[in-house]
Amino acid sequence: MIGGESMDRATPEWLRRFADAEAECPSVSAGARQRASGEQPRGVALAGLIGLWRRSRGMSSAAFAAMAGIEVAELERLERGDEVGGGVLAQVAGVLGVSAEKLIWLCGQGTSSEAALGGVPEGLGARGSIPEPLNPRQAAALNEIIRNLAG
Amino acid sequence: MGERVQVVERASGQLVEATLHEGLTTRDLEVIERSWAAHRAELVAALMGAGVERRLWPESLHWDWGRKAPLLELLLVNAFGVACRGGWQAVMMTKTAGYDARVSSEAGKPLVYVDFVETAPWNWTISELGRLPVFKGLGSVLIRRAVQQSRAEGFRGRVGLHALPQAERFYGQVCGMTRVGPDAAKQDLVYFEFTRQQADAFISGGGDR
Repeated sequence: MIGGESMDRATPEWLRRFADAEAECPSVSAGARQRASGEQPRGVALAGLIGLWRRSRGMSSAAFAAMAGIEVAELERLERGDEVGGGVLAQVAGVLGVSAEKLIWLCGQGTSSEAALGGVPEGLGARGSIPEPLNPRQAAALNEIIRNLAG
Repeated sequence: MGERVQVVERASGQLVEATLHEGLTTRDLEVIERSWAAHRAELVAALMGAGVERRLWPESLHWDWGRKAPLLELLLVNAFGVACRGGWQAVMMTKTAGYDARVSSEAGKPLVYVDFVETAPWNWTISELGRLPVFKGLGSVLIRRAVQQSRAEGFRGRVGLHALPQAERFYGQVCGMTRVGPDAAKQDLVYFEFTRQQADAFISGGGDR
């Protein structure tokens, strides 16, 4: 490299040719279908949703658990993506203000005709005691997700 | 200091100057994910709102580069990123040890393995939502960089990767890599590989497209 310029920099023709062909493809992603550590836990979608919701309100794990009337250990299981009982999910649904049935389906623990509700991505939540606040775009997205899960 | 590259701004069709950075840090990946996460969340909401079937959602929508950051602590792992217009547009993580060629003509020879590569959510083509990329050519630029890294390592351009299903067309038809086949050890993702000759053809613009 000379002065930051690669000696075999792509020509404009090369770039345009590949860029046009690449844009016809839905993705260039390569790596892993799910988490690198293995299969995606069935409850990861809910874990992401709870994380977003807690962040939107600056709420600690303990506070959320208390509001839902569940043990902190149960919330921690939820936030790890582990399966929990339907009763716990129903109580969490009450706090989130969403349909318990849809929430149970989101966890992969039931069935629903609304297949489009599955798969909220992991990694959107926070694990700290007081989670990082959402930015306006995240907050808007969370509201939209909750709206889709409601009723 | 990064390497000067160009990408194509889709709306204008103009070439835009960009910088390809090598040696991204854990902090860099966390910053990247922080800026991308909001767009991932926005896309989830849009996909749900539009009733798009889950199988049609972008397959890397759930990724979190912040969680991949610890991989950088491993030896012989490197991360590259393309930045322009004040934002990170694409990221790639490669490994230069532990992976050998599988194509029979070069089987057993070392190669650069692309562990992860992804463009920013706003650069995805999502036909179900009518969304088009802001910048084009980012995947090509990064795979070109992987070939260059392979050459620099003495691997003669050999590169391997496991493509997500929605990306198989890009690696097979656009880049001209050999489709080795599904890999049971990697969630049945299809493994693709550049032989030396295919890498040369890709760099010169004569891929199997």
